[in-house]
Amino acid sequence: MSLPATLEPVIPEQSGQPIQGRTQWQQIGRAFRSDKPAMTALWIIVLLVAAALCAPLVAGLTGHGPNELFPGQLSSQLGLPTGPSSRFLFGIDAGGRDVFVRCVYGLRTSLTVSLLAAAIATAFGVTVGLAAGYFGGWLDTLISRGADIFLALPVVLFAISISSVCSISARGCLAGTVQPGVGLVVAILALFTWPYIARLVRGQTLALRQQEFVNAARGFGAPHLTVMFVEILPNLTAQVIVYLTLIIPSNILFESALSFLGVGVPQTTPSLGRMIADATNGNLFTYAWWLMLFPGVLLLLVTFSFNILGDGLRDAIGGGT
Amino acid sequence: MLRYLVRRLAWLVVTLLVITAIIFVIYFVLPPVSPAVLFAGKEATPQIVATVQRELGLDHPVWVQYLLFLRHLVLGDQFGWPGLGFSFVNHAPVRSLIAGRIVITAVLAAGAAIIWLALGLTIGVISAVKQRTLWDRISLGFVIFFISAPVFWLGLVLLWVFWYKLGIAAGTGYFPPGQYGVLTWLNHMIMPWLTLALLYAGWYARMTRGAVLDTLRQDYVRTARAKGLREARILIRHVLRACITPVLTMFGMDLAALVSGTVIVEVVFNLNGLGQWVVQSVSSDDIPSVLAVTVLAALAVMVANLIVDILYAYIDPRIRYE
Repeated sequence: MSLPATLEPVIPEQSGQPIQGRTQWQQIGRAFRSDKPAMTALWIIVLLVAAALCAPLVAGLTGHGPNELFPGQLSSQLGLPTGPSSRFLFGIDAGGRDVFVRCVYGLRTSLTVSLLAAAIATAFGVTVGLAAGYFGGWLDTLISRGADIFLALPVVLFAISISSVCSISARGCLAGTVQPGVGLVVAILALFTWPYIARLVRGQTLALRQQEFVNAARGFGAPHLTVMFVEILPNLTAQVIVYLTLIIPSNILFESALSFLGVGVPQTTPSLGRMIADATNGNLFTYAWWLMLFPGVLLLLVTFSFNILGDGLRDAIGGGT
Repeated sequence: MLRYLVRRLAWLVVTLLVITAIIFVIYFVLPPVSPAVLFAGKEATPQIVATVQRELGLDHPVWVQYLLFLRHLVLGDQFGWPGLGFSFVNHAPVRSLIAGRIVITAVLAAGAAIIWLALGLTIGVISAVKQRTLWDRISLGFVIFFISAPVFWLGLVLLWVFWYKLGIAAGTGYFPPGQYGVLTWLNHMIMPWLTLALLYAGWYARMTRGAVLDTLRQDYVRTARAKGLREARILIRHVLRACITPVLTMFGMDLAALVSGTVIVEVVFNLNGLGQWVVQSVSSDDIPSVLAVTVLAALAVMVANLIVDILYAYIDPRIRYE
């Protein structure tokens, strides 16, 4: 008895194209590209980052510097700020400065501070989290408990404390290593976000440590550091990236909140949060709505886009956090 | 339960030591000038600086200074308990300056927490039950919007729309109910409460939705349905009960963030609580006041965390034996 011809295996070559496996990243990429809101958010972020990078160009094109005063533009009778016009797209503020140019520069500050802080927190959090999950024992207890304590601190008050103490003289803190200004805000943000990353990485490492490929690598005599950073870390990249898309917008909100309270970036650095604080001076915003609307909407647009992007990435990667 | 309590209290003592140590380092070790100069304020005479120097024990080694700082905090100083020092800018003990303000901050935080839990849970449950409907989509949009909005900006927009443009809400400021009547007080508190609550309600709606969806798939829910129980009863008795624990965990973790939020909301709505005080103190270089509020807030969060943990162990017996 012979088998019917229909049961013969289909040979892949017959379909013309050889079958290729997709890597994890190709799968994530495919899933992500089909997610319209997330793709839109990604493009908005690209545009905003480009705008922030080109801030000096914007200033050059309009011919208005971020701190340049145009007192002639204030309304003639009361000296009040004037609203949007063809020359000043977003109007001018109480000092007579171009709100549009300041918004672009403020965006630059927001993105610089939040990305830098996120990078530092990630580098530290990943290292510490890997160590805690991989080695376990007292090191794990120390790191995990330390992270718990940091997460239970009221961040704004600690940020206010550190910046008020370190801004008392121009020399800064710790013999000048922590200077008042942008660097201090970055340091504070990083200090209070690393525990989130460390906790995530620790948990994942704990699970991965038991897997065969880790045992195999150890069996081949790979040193601990190699196992941690070459074998385990690549498996965590996707989840850390998802987490980053959540930490960056929260950093942006936090920087703006600190600047709003007057303990963020220094006066001379344009900041969206401080622009909104200036608008509340004597309830100015009830008249000059553009002083509050544009910086606020811009902030909302950035954080909203990052959150949508993060949601999309999380869905594409599956599971996640 | 008793063993759990003892262990939890021991951990509380450890965290208190670590947190006071962190605060001590920020105020006594970090600054580029002597803490005495820092504490004495801008217009300090050499005599005042010398007094502060003596009171803080600055001529002793650092660890003695820390113990003294702790001793003042735990046992009180010459101005009473807890020992929070003297504000040279205001010429008064910090304790007396902030006593009345604590109530306002507590009222703001408690009211906001109630609204945010109610709002978050309701939206989360409805959007889980009506999964993939228009309502679900709207509420997901709501969630992401409020998660993304800067809280101070949200407060200002609410003020602008409801107070300035529409005139249906009261403006800024705190109006004690005893003096102005409950209605006036409530009218002035609604917007601050809402602003603070909206900041967190989104996260809770999102988490509740996930938890309810997970629970709805459980076998015991199917059993309950097979028994012929009404859907509302299943939702309240079987599903919601299981979802309370993750919500409570998150609530405990968010208490610190709540304190941060109250600072901003108090500034926006001109409520004279601790948060507004701390921001004013920064601009007047009144460091003892900033220190006092930071310590108090950190301790309050710790104690609130303890209460949440005990409540948690009471609701979920598994926790006690971990």
